[in-house]
Amino acid sequence: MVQQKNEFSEHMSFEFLELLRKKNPAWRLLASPQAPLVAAFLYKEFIAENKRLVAEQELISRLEGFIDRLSQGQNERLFPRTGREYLDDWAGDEHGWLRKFYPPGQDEPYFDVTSLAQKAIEWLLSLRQQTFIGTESRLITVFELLHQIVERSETDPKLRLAELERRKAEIEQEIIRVQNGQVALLDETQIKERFWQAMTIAREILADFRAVEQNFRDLDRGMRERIATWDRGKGELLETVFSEQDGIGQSEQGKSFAAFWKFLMSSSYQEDFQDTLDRALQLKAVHEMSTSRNLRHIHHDWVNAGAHVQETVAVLSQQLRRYVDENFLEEERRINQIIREIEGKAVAVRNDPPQEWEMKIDEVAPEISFPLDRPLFTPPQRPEIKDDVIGAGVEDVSAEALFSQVYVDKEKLKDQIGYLLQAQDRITLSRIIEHYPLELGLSELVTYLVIASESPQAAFYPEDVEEVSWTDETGKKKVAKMAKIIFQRT
Amino acid sequence: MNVLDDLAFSRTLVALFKNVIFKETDPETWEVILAQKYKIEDYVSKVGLILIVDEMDGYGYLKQRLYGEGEEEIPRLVSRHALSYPVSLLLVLLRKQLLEFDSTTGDQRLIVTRQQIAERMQLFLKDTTNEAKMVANIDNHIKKIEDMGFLRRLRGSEDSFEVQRVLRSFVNAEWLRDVNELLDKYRVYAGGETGEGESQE
Repeated sequence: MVQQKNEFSEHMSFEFLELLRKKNPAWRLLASPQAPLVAAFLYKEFIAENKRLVAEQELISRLEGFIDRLSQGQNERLFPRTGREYLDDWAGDEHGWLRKFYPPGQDEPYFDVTSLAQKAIEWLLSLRQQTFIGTESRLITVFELLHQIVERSETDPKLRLAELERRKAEIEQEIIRVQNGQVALLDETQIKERFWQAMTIAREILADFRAVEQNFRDLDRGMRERIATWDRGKGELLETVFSEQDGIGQSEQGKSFAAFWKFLMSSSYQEDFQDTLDRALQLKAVHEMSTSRNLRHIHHDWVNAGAHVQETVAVLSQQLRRYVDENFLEEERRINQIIREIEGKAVAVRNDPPQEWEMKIDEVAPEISFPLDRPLFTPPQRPEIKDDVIGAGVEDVSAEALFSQVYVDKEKLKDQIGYLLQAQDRITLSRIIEHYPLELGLSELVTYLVIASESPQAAFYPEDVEEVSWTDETGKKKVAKMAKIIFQRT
Repeated sequence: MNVLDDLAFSRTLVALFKNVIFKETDPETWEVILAQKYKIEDYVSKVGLILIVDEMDGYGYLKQRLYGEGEEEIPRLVSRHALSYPVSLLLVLLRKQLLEFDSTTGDQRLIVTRQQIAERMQLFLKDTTNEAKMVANIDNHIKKIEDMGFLRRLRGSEDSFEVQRVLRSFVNAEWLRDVNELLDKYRVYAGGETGEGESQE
């Protein structure tokens, strides 16, 4: 207890707080002149929606829209910089309110709120005073938690049995009371109080996920740094490395999260939770509270947020396992050493760089060139247009037919071809259609043919006949036979 | 082995002969590489190539086999890029950045911007008053490395590049040692210097 006290007083010393105010992103957010903008915007985009990642372009346009609305009726725009500048600023090291990262397979950066920025925002939320503070229910919770600890850590079977007997007696007493018609009910205030508390905790769990994920990242980084700067013997390193193979999974944070996840995913729990929550929400007292966030789906939100953490942990563990691989480390160390030497020498020759330099590096693939692998020139076929006189028609057709025409987006089809050609040098039309099945039937196929006839990238092979099939609007399968067409990258 | 497997095998082989295969961008071919690894190895060994697969980083490519003493060599299929001094230097710096990146985070993808590259390069380039020319030069170096396949320009971005992890196995200890030795030779040749401080080798 004494130790605990010291720890707190250290955290609340003047010097420490001075440092904290300068360095801690949460405090810096609160102290920033931009705080209302940052907190309002990040709350709206991430926390209220329970979103974990938003693409850069989307976030920029939302921020600019947000600032536009704030500036309405003002003489000048309230926040003069561009949305992109603000976001980069907030994601920078000097602020640390957003995390900017590239998810696998995405070329656009994504953003998520950092756990400390979220903390600051949640604190602002907590300033809004509740109508009352449920003191009774919280006291009971504390008491029950302590009970659990003491009971479940009791190793003596006799004492454990005695406790179970005591509870059995209590339950029997209650059965007798209920049989006699004496049912003890919670009054309305007690119901409200308990519901409030349950929901506050439920939301806090949600808020915790970001912090949990951050903890995992910190753990990972700590281990990497330790490994990278290891300067003692190799045997010792191996020992540490071996014991940290599952460092993340074995940490307290890891164990606690794993237990939470197991519980959350068990089907009996899921049914029980949803059922109980539904019944609670039907109570009159609860109904009157008209809670703002959609609590019925809190369970789904937990699962989503939990799955996100789960993925992060899986990736981190996998990466870390590789990083502690003995050969990998040896090699990285050697490379680090050589690079330092090269840098030193390169600086020394900075003003007199080598002119004759004979360094080579392998190409990433064998060299095979195809000088004839391009279509030869074929003269474009000119359509023959007959000079017929066009007579006036009889207008007995409804104009409707004009509007119900199928519209095929030619640009979209071109994009699809272009996209597939990024991954391969050449592709047949039938393969393209396997990737992007025809949605508009024959019209779409004809549009492909038009594109092919206009494009220098396409070549027709009339001797090879190919089949292309699609399903029309009545659900029938149709097949077209046509000359093989190959598109290739220019 | 059925007909479909044979077809997949042939397609994969051709794909490998043309370029590096990445798990992320071409998962189908990637699966075939993993499933038919030995068959591919066997096949390419006939033409003096070996298959390199990095399952963690998710790439596979064909590499020229090295010959030991007394072994009969066959002509190379993988040709080599000649590198200028600044391009070699830039490769070294990118490899260093990858190393620093791995020692601090568990993220997979290292993205660098043109500005960051320029800043890192500047330390090693001749002082110049013609900043515009220097930037243009750096752009050329970047372009070269992009063509080699070690940098990939992000879609929809002029200035951001992903450092392809395959760089790790090309700019390896052996290659770096060659650069280091070449620099030594150059210094001896250029100034008859004895080296300042790094004479521990």
